[in-house]
Amino acid sequence: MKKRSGWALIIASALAVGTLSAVPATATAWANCTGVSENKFLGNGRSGTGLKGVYAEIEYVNENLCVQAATKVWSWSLSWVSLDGPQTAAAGVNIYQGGYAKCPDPSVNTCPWNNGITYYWVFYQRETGPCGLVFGTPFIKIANAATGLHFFQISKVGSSHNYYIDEVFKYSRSVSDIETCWPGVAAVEYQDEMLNDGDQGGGTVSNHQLFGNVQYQNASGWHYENRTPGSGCANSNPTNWRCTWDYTGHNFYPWDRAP
Amino acid sequence: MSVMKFPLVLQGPPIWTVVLPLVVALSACGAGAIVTEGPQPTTSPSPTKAPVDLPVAGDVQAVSASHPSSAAADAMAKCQIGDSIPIQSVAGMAQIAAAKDIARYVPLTGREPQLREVGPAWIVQIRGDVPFPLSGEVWTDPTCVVTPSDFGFYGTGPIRNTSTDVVTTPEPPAALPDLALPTLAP
Repeated sequence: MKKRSGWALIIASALAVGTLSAVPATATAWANCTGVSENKFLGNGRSGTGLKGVYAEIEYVNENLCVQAATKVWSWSLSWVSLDGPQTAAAGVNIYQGGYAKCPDPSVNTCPWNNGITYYWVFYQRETGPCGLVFGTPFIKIANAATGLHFFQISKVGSSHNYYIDEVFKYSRSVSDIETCWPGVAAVEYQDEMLNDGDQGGGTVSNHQLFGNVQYQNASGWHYENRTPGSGCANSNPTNWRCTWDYTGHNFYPWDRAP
Repeated sequence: MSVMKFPLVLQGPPIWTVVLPLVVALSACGAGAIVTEGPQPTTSPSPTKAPVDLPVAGDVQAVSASHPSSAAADAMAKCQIGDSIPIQSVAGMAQIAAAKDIARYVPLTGREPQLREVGPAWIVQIRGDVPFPLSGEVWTDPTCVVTPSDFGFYGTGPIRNTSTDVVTTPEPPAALPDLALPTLAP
């Protein structure tokens, strides 16, 4: 199983509590939606051979979504970990991912609304290929999310790739789904994902979101990310979103424009 | 990433050493190939559609839209019918006795793992567009299949990449379907 240092967890939990106390109670006065929506990211990834697991302790944030005009545009705010297969020109993507979702109302119809309550979710998709036509699960709700810091893990266990939240089994895909149908894992990711520049990514200026004890699994076991302290994350919208690794090199902190 | 799953803009030089190989690798993974093709017509007919006048199998029962059985309601929920997909978009739905016969109703390639499952299957054919924002796509006329060990949608119709407007049509089926599903009953 993954490594998790006690001191790091204590620090992370304390940070999480401090952050939650300052999260805005309502979604009012957030940014308007911009005209074009597409998948946008704020986080990190790793490619390589032999990858088979991913893990991060991600802090819950009650994200703000962009304010819609009469003409609806795609919007959401997600935080997730994933295993990625190779990507080709075929329709669909090879991905197995799960985390938190904050979704807009059904008139926007990007993911199940859940009455605006942030929830845990999981999703699997494969391109057209060895296993036939492109296939994807729906955006599957697991449960309403709780405040605080929660552990998300996807890893190969025996003959399946399991998805765990807080070390409790939630969902599974067969080894053949990953190793034959994709085929194989080409990368892992730890990301916030938004669809519109007006969607909130991460925490706030004063209270950043935590992705803690970020780890990947390969043939030799679990390994902490070990990034350059203070270095930035990959970011689709650097005007409004920010993210840096801390001094340990295995925790990073995304945040948004306000307050 | 529509197809690209990593951010395109990098913040700070140190991360380049890690992220740049990812971006390069994924740029070469076919997403790039799609982009360079440019938009394609969105009105191209799918070559995989079966004739519309197929017979409905005698041993499958229509599902009531207003009073579905508990099993049918479970299948609808798994396919998000009545949630993100309006029930009016259901063109046909039924439970069939053997999952291996799904391809008699749905234009599949024959390689789909669900065809090898033992036991019954629910098939829900959708007419219309279903957004798949996680892959940056809109799937037209997909089919949801629920078997004892899996459930999800097959791209049985055109799929449009929302970033590039490129439309992909499905691989032709191994054999055209020879049976139709009943429409929903009242």
